[in-house]
Amino acid sequence: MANGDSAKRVKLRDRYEIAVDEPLPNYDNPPAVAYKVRHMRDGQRDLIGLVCDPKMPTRFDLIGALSRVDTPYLMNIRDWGIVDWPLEGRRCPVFIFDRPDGGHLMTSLDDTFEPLREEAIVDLFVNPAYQMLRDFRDHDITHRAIRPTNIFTGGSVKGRYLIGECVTAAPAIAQPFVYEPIETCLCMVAGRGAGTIADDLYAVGVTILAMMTGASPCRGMSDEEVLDAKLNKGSYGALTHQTRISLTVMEALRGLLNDDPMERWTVDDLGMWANGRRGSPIQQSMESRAARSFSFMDKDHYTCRELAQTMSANWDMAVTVIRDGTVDTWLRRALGDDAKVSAMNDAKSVLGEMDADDNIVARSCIALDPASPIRYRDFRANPDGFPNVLAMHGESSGTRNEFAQLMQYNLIGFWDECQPRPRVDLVGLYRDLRRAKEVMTRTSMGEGIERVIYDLNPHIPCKSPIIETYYVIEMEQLLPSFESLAGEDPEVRFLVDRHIAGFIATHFTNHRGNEFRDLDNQADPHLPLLASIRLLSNVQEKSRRVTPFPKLSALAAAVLAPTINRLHNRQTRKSISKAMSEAAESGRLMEVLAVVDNADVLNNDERRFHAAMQEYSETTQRLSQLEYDKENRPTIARELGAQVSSFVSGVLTTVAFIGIVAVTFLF
Amino acid sequence: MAKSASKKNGKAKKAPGGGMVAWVLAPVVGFVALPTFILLLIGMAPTLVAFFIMDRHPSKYTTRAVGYLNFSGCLPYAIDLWRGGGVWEFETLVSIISDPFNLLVMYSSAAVGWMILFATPPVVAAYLAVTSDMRETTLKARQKELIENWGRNVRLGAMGAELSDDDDDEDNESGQESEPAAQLAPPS
Repeated sequence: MANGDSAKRVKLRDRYEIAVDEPLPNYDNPPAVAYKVRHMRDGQRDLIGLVCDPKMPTRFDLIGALSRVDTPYLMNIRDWGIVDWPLEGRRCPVFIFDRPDGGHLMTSLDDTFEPLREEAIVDLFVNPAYQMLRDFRDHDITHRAIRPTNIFTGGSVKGRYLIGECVTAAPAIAQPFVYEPIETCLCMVAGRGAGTIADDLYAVGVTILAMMTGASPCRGMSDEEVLDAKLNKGSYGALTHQTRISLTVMEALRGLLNDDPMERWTVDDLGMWANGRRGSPIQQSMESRAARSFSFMDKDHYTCRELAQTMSANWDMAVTVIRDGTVDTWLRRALGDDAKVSAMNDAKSVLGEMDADDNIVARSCIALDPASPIRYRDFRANPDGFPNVLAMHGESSGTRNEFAQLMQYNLIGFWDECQPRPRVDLVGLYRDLRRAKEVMTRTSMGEGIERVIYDLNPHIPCKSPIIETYYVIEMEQLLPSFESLAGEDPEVRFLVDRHIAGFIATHFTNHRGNEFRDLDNQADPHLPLLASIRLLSNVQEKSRRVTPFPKLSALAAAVLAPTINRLHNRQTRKSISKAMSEAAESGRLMEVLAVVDNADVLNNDERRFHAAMQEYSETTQRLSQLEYDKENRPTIARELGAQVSSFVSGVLTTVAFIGIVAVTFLF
Repeated sequence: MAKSASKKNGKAKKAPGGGMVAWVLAPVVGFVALPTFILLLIGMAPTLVAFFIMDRHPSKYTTRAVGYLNFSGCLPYAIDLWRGGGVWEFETLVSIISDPFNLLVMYSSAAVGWMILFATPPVVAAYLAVTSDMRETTLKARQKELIENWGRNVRLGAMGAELSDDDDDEDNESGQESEPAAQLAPPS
C-alpha cells in the first residue's frame, strides 16, 4: 500500500506526497485532519488529504458507491490508502480530494454569516444538494454529514456550494443534534447508523434554515434543550422558533423537517421545489397528545415519545409504573390509543426468564415509541447503528453485556414487530444479528464478541493491540503487518489473540482447520503456539500470490522455539533449531512448521527417549548393587576369597598329584 | 524359576543321601583299606579340624582349601603304603606315622592350605575395590552422558516421576546425581 519515506513527506501509492508539515486547518472535517497533497506526476493539481482518526470507524463501504456518483457538487474521493503517519507514529487511512475553491460556509456552528436570499439558497445549495442526494438515493447510500460546517462556498461549477465529504468518519458521528431527526437524537452518537436518505433531507432542511437566518438554529442551546424543544414542539417549531419565514421556504421546511419520516419530503419533492414547483405547506406532523398528563419523575408527559424518553432516562424507576398498570390506564383513558395499549400489553407479555425488569422497560419503551431507537439501559441505537456501536464500544464490558442481553431478549424482533411498516431494508441486518447472537454464545478463539465485531463491520481495522497500529482492514494486509511487526519488535512472542482470531474467522472464510480449537488448548502449552503459526501459514498459503515473509518466518521460528522442547534429545533439538532458522530464510511459515512439527522426528525421539530412560534405570540399578557391594565388601571378600583359595588349593593339589604320580611311577 | 527351585530342592535332598552313602561306605572302605584309612585319618587331621570345627559354610570352602593340599601332602605316603605291601601293611603304616618328618610334611601341606585361605581375601578385597570403582566411574559417566543427551527428564522418567517441562537445569542435575542410586531399586 503506501510508504512514508521521510518525516515531512508521506507517499501514497507512489502517486501522491502528503506534506506532513503543511496542515490545512481550514479544510479539516473533524475528526479528520487536512494536509496539503502534491500529485507526483501532475504538479498542477491542487489536492488535499484528509487523514482519518485511526481509532474511529471509517466508511470504507461507501468508496465503491461513491466512485459511481458523478456530481460536481460533492467533494468526492480522488484516491485513498493507508499510510505510515509520522505524527501518530502508526498507520492511518487517508483520503485524497480536490481542494475546494472556497472555504467552509461556517467554520463553527456558533458563527454567523450574511443571511442568503431564497433564490440564492435554492441555486447555491438546494440544487446541488438535490443532485447529490438523487445520486445517493440511486446508489442506496446516505451522506449523513450535511451541515454548514461541511459545506464549501465557491464550488467548482457556477459558484455553487460544494457539499463536503462523508467517508472519513462513521455516519452522523459528527452531526450536531440540531441537524439530526428526533429518532437519531435519542441514540448514542455511535448508534445513529447510516440511516436513510430521509435523514439527509432533514439535515438539508436545517441547513436551509441556517442559510436563511445566517446562523445555525438553536444557537446557544444545549443538546438536551434542543431535544426537549423538538419533543415538545416538533422539529419545525423548535428550530424555526420565532423566525420569519416566507411561505415558499416554509413549504420546504415543513416538508423537510417533518418528524414523521414517512411524511417527510422525498428527494423528488425537494427537486420539484428547487425547480420552482410550489404547493401548499403541509401541516407539521405531531404526535397525538393526551387529554391529561402522565406525571413521572416530577414531569408531566403528554405524548408517548416524551414518556418513553423519560422512562429510558430513569430506567430503574420506570419498571414500577409499567408493572402497576398506571401507564396502561393513562394510555387507555387519557390518550385513547388502543394500538398503544395493545402494544404495551405485548411488551409485558413475557414469560419465565424473559420477565426481567430490564426487558420489560426496554419493550415498553419500544411499544410507546416504536420509531425511536432500541434502548436498553445505556445502550441506545438504531438497529443499523448496532455494528458501529460494537466497533466503537465493543471493548467496554458494559456495552457488550447490554448488547448480549438485548439480543437474548430479542428486542430487535419486538422492535421490528412494532414498526408501522415492514423494514425490508433491515432484513439482511436482522439475519446478521441473529447469527451474531449465536456466535456471541461461543467462547472459543475465533468466536465471541470479537468475531461479531468484525462480522458486523467488515471494513473496520483489526483492533488487536498486537497489530492495531498497522491498521489492517483486509486479509492481504495481515501478514505484511506481521512482517513489519517482526522487523520492529522481534521480541514479540504472542501472535494471535482473540481479536486477530476473530478478524481471521471473519475475513478468511474458507478456513476449515482445527487451529482455532488448538489455540484454546490449555493442556498442551505447545499446541496454541503451533496453531497460531499454522493459522498464519494457512493465510499465507491460501493467498492469491504466495509472498515470502522472511522476518515473520524468523519471528515464527522464535515463537515456536519452546515447542522444540517437545523433543528430548539435545542434539536433535540443536539440529531442529538450526533447521528452523534455515527454513525461516525461505519466508514460508509452512516450511518452518514442517521442521518443528515433524511427526517422524517426534516419534523417533520419543522412542529413543524411552530407551534412554530404560538404560538409565538399569545403570542406576547397577550402581545400587555396587553401593551395596561396597558396604559388604569384607564379607564378600571373605566369601570370594574362600572360593578362590579352594580353587587355588585345588589347582596346586592337581599339580602336586601329577608330580607325585609321575615321580613315583615313571622314575 | 520352577525348574531352578526343583533343582535346588533336588540338591538339598541329594546332600543328605550322599552323606549317608559316605557314612555307609567309609567303614567299608576303612575295613577293606584300613592302613590307608588310618594314615589319612592321622595325616588329614587338620582337614578334619577344619571340617568339623572351623568351617560353617555350606560349600565347605575352607575344608576344600585345606583338604586338597593336605591330601597332596598325604598322597606320597599313601602310595608308599600301597607299594610297600598292600592295603593291609600295618608295619609300613607304623613306620610312616612314627616318623615326625612325615607328619610334618603332611601337616605342612595343610598349613599351606591355611595360608592360602588367609591370604586370599585381602587380595580379593583389593581387587574388588579396584574393579568396583572402575565400574562405578563408568556407570556414572554413562548416566551423565545420558543426562547431557536427554536432559534430566531421563532421570525423572527412570524414577517413574512426572517429567518436567524445563529439563535444562543441569546444575541442579549434577547436585542430584547420587540421589537415584539411593532412591531406586534397593538391592535384593
